[in-house]
Amino acid sequence: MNSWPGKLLRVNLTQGTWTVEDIDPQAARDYIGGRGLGTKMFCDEVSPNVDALSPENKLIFMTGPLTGTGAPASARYMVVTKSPLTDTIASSNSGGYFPAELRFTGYNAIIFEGKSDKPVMLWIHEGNVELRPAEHLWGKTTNITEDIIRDSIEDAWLAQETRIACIGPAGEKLSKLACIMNDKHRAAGRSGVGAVMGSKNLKAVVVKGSEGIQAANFEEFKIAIRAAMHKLSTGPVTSEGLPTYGTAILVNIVNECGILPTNNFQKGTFANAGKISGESIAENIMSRNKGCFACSIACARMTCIEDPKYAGHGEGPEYETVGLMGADCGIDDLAPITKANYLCNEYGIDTISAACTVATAMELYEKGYISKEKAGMDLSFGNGEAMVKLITQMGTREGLGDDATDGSYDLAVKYGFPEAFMGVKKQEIPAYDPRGVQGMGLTYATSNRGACHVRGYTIANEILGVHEKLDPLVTEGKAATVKVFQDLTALVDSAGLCLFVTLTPGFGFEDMRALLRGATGFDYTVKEVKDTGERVWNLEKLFNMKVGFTKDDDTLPKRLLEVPLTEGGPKGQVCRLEDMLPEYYELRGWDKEGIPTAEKLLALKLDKQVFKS
Amino acid sequence: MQIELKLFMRFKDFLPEGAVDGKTPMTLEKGTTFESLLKIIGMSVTEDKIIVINGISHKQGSAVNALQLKNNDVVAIFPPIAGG
Repeated sequence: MNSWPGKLLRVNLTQGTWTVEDIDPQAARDYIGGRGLGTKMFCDEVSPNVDALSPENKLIFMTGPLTGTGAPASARYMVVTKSPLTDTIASSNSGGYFPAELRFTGYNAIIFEGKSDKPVMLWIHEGNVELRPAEHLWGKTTNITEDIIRDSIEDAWLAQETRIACIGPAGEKLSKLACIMNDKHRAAGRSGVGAVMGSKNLKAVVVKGSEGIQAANFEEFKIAIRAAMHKLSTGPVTSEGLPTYGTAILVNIVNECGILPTNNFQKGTFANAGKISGESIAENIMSRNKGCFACSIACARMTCIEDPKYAGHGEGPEYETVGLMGADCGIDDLAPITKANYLCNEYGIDTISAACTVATAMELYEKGYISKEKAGMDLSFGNGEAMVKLITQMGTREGLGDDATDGSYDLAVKYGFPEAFMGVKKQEIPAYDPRGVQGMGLTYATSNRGACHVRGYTIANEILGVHEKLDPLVTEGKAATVKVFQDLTALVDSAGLCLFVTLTPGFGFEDMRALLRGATGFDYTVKEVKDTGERVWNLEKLFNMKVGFTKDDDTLPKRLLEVPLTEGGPKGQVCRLEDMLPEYYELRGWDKEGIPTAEKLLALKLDKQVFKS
Repeated sequence: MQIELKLFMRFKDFLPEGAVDGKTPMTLEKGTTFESLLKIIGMSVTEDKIIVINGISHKQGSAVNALQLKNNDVVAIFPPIAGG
């Protein structure tokens, strides 16, 4: 029997009940799964005007048709909700082993509704569904939560095979930067999805499946998997660079190109980048690499810090984390950077936004907007001890952390210097300065969930030349590049694959079509899967428009638009967003105000989309 | 003229003796091209690589190969990588 689209579990936390429903096959064909189908379900059921932290908001855990199948890097699930950080649609993605196990339960999606009056966890074990009390877990960090849950399972083998997603204290305390952690170290990181889970008094989701996954066209699927695997195992990035050095391999090249955000985006080069590079991580703190479900890349770093002040072990730091907790906070010591990463995972906070918020706090401190008395510490750039302390306070809402844990937009506004916020739609910018890589500026400005690098990773072509090498400093042609990357990403995110498959030369829409046909039985054409990515992008856009977002929100901080970089290759450059945005809107089939035209909506079968008031 | 050469990851094997932290100053004849530099250090011209000269990333191929290096240029070469 074909496992897709299959069934979803709808959990009403207010009433403590649940129902099982069939997933609509037509919606599954049109939106695939993961980010796409999750967003479609969300938009059909939840008003764009909902308060993100109210019981009326819903939280959707959505797998894709490839999740858990054995297709390469098929480890991903998507959390879809309305973001308390940005007020936009949120879809936050994570790998590890939880997503595949979720599919093995026989439920391809879980929709959480309402709010429990007491902390609970959803427990799905070998066919049985329960809502169990979780008061004893409330206040516990994510790693301790996992340990307690696993220790409570008598059968050691069953305990080992059980997979857990949970929030930490940050999610419980409704930090707008809170994430949902799974398998201890993997995060559905961005946009504050953990706060939504916390607002529902849902501490954890515990899964152990007993069902297999059936591909609709098994022979076709096997061939497609083999072809994709061959590309991954021979591609230089996925077979050598990422397994050996992890994502932090980018530190040196991004710094060399003058786009490594430093001291809250006040500079684009960091003098001691080599000390925090992927090579340095591999030489000094890495114990082994680790892969997610069905992944041959194994880019994750298991690390250990021996310095007694920062001692610990865990996973990370990844590139974005080390770039932002390092260079952007002016810190060149891997020990406090890695410790801060561990703390974010344990408290359940997004490392990207947390790091940028610390950098913002440091700028506010150095410029006198936050006093030493208020900070309670010397928050100067470069002070690793202060970063670790502030991250801890953000996890527990203590001291300055109570303000900082809601992100750098709120912090910069509260302390009277909004210009120190380096983000888009209230979400912090990842570790590439768009003044020296123009397409990324357009990616950030137009991203439907606020500033984000994984909504259109044009770094792959503008800097790294993965598919073709583009000049990062020109704006010509970048609108088209950004659109293609955004649509392909939406497709991959909907399928349940890791985005890193797209870092394989030659991997593209044709591979996606073949994999999806095999897994789902839908006779997709290349055009149809391409259209799906674009459909997802436009649906997200429509949701945001209903919330009230306009062209004015598709922009970047003034610093990036008006203050030129002062050194390195992109010296003298600003991000010339206005050169790219009109062409981007036109290529998208949107009018000059960035509103999708009736023709475009009709072509994408979005003309009949209705939103709740 | 003198340039600074920086090589990363497995390309460090091509650094001349005496290089520290993956980089070294090199004295070259005036007019030396990028392709000539590769030949001097024994690197394949055609093998996939990422080339950054003075902070500007270049497309691999004939244009960068023919580029004449200048005094004080900083040349950085990486194996194919990506991530993020």
